[in-house]
Amino acid sequence: MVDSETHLPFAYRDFAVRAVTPRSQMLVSQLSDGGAAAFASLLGCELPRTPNRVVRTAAVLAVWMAPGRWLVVDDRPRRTEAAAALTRFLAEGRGAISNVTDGLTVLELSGEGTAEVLSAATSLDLAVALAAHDHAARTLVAGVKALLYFGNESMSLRLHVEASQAHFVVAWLAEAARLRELGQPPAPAAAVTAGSPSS
Amino acid sequence: MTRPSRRLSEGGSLIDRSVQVGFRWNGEELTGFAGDTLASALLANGITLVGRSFKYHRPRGIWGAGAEEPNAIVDVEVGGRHDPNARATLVPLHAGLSAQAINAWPSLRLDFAGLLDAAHRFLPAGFYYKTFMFGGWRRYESAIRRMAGLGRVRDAADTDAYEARAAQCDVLVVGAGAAGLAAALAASSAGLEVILADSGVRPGGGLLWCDLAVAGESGADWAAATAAALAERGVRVMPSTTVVGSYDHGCFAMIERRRVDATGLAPDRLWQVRARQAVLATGANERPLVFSGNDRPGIMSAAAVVQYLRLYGVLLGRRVVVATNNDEAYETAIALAAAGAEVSVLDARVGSNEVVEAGRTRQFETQFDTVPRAVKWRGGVEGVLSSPLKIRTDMDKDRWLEADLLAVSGGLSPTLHLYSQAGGRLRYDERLAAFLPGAGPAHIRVAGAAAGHFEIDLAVESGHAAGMAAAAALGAAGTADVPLVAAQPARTPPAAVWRINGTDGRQWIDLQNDVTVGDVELAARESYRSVEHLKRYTTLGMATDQGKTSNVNGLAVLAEATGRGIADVGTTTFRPPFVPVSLGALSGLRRARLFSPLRRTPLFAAHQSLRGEMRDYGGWSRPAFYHGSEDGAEKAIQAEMRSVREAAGLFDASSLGKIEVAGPDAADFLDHVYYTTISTIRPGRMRYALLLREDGTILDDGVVARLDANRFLLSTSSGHKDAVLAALEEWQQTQWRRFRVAIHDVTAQWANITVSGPRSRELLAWLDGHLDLSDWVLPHMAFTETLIGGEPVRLARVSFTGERSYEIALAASRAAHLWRRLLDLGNGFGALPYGVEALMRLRTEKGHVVVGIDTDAATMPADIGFTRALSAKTADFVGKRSLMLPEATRANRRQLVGLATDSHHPLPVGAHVVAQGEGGRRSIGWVTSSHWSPTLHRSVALAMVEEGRARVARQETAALFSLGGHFKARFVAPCFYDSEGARLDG
Repeated sequence: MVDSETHLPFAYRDFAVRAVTPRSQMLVSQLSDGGAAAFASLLGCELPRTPNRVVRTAAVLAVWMAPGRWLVVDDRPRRTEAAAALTRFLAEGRGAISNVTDGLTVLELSGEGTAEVLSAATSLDLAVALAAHDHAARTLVAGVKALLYFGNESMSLRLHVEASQAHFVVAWLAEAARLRELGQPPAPAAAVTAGSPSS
Repeated sequence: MTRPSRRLSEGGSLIDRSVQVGFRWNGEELTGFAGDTLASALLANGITLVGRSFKYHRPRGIWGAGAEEPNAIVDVEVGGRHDPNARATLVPLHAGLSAQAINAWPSLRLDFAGLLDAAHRFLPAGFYYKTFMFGGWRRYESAIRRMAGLGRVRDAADTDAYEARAAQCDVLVVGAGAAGLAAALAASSAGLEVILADSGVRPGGGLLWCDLAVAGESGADWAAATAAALAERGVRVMPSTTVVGSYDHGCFAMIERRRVDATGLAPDRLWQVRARQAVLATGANERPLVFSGNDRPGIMSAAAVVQYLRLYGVLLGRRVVVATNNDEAYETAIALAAAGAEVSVLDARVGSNEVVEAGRTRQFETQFDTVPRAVKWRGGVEGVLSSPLKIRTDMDKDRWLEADLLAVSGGLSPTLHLYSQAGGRLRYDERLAAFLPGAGPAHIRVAGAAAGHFEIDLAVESGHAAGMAAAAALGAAGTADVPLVAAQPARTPPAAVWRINGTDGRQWIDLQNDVTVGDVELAARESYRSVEHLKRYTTLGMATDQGKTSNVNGLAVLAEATGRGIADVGTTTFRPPFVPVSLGALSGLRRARLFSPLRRTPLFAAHQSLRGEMRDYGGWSRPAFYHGSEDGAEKAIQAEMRSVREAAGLFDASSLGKIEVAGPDAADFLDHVYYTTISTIRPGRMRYALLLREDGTILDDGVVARLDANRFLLSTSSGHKDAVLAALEEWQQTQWRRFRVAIHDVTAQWANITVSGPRSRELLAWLDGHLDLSDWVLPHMAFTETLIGGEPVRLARVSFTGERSYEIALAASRAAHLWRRLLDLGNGFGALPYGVEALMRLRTEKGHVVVGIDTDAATMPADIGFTRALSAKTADFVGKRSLMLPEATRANRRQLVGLATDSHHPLPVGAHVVAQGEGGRRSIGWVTSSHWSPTLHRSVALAMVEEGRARVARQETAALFSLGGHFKARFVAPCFYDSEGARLDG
């Protein structure tokens, strides 16, 4: 979630940020052998076993967060039968699940200027860390812990940050984008989609 | 005042004569050309006196042409920007620039503090250490502070917008001279990502001003063409960019100086570069010759003289003596002669070589075994005393040469600051009389003059080799050929001339910090044999030029004074930054609202709409109080407190950390981590718990709720969540991997609204009539997961105010709605929202501690009243062993007490509780929390005091002291309000 004081979306000529609100975000931890597989079968999506990797289906995305721990982003409507299966999964002590849907803000960064704006926010080598579509990176963005991976659009990045600090990350990216714009030679008027943050 | 212009009618490859640039120097209107530096423009206008020295206020002129400049530190204002300590050699000339000299009063020419120079015999190195001890330092401090320092920073805020960027590359090449360009060509030919950074406005380094040819072109043309080709190849070529620091793991800091005009951007941009390999082609600095009066304006670096001539078209003298101990200065002599100057060369060496002979064809004479021993100076150089270098037996050989400029070259010192910063060692080379790179980090290579290859052909070859080697280290093979350089004349090594004695007068080593040969010798006599001690005692090399021109001369003089070789003396440690960097550039975006990622609760906007005074508490932006109808903060806080004590208050506790720990071994795990026993908590119940560090001190406190058999919810202090989470993860991942537990941080997922006060239950009942809030269902320290208004919530009975309280945790996105409903309903109950300041007073009345405020890093559980026997808990836990040590059980540990006064004025927080001991008065503790209590109509305070509980038992009186004030209080138990706890169920 993003508080009402945070100005989103905003766009510059080749960089834009908007909030994305998935239906559900869950932290999932395996507590017994086979727990991950059991959860994956409930989910209908494999859980990545390699650090900093993403597995995705049309509506579900799972990110490796730590050994035996994943962030699952699920855009499907809640289903009663799935909830019951999850309850059984938990009762059997095979894993632990925490709802973090409101706890993590998801931002989508898009445009050709994304890498350059991010270079004002993180020292991570994105070309290496996100070398492939199934890579994810956990790093500091604007000094805030963040998770980064490619969005469904090939030119976009998804960025998860703790909701309490999302306003700061957004403000940082907006300022970095604004200063970048100031430092560039003026573009032909027709190419400018927005000259200042627009909400 | 009229001064002869020194600008020639033609020449100057960096200036654009079609664009005149007006500027001011000490209030005088002057003009230069686009492309000038402030230094070149001043010199072109005939200005030689630019400043006064730091200590003795001696007149000083421009010495160099780059970052090594020790004298021309000036105050510059341009385009609304102000730099109180700008190096004139590095300041691009802009229209409207205004510069003035610093460290001089009332004027540069007539500086009263120049009288200090007459008293120099009483002010040698280290005189302050011997002088200012008498009568106490503070007697002298204000006067010294007024005199010390250089330019003065203005009070006005720097409004420029600073940026910082990160970049990565395979190979970073530092320096775009001949060696750097060759290295970049080689590395990029292997298909690698290369960044080429150079301080100059144009790539080329020495190629821009030396008469050299590379690959059949002039050096300058080849540099320009090569840089363009590199950029075409994808190399990021960054002119006007100085690499200022070299750090571990291939990290480099660079400052890019951009032309930003009126955009509001700052010109300086910080870059953090990660390079897998680096080639340092950073060139070399020319050293001065050390002789009597060698600091006078008009005595300049020979390399600088030729740069001003060829790059800016400025001929600095018509009758020039060039004094050298090496071949480099012949470039200057040749250029000066070609420009029409009358040139005499004094060469300390014996015997000619091809370089010298090439010069002789250019209409000037060279005298060998000859050095300058003194200058005749009356506002400008008028003559140079030339003299044989060896001990003179025949004074008749001394000769005064008429001159208006003395260009000196005492040899080259490779610029190895970055190499040293990265851990590279330096070795002294007797042949070159210079420190060269020794063993160093594998990912850094040094090329060109920085590696001692002062000849162009060797420099290019070494650059090429370094670039190829860097590529090979990354598993790539370069394909570039070595750029062709015509055969160079054979050279002779420099003569090691470190000082030239013979006439009276001080011989200057460090021009910026006014350190002389005499100072170094004095330090040696006083047993400062270590170069690091010498540096600190004399301040040699500690000025903002970091001793770029003075270090090696200083080391040599110390070596001589202590009877050692230069290699045995060694060098001081080089530290970043290579050149001064503005604080704004270092901070980048991190200023004002972007200074720190202050967290916001889900109710942030609600607090703002209620006129909450938002402040930083533990890294969270939280309401200190709400600006209500009452006047002022104090009344508002007291009104909020009254609402809690008399009716109900609403508090946003969302910032409290929330960590879910789940799994079949969760209870066992938490028993091992917490000081408090967790496994005996029944589902649906909560317990106050302490978490310790291994040394037995308190890391955090909080409440642990058991959700069911295998699930716990830990509540942490707002500012300690990250530390607690890290501690849990560390213990689970390292020590107790056998425990099957999952640790999930859910802090931001849940908002937490506390309803506290005697009417809190009524308010909640109005909120949702279906809630069973009876005390037998939900007693104090009970917990339930239920629905309020159809929303899933976690409802807890826990109190920090001492009143009946309910904490309602719900999904963050639903919090604002519930908050509004509670506020609306609360109106009928006299309920108010209360902020952190009211909470702090309420909990102080109750005697509840805040970890980090009432405790410090030495506080153990017993100190705040947790005195149970360790045997009461069977499980080992973090910190247990430390609690058994004598340190934990000594009788005179500081313990939590209350301090009661009858005064309306709270005791100052931090006031020391003092006791009279054998050695006089001493502190036995201090006040940790202190407030006026509107509930009790008196001040209340908590304190940590030695043997505190015994003092309470003895009903002692406390004497306190703070900032000159004395206070009295009574030691009392640390609970001022409802010590029986009756109001928890009230």
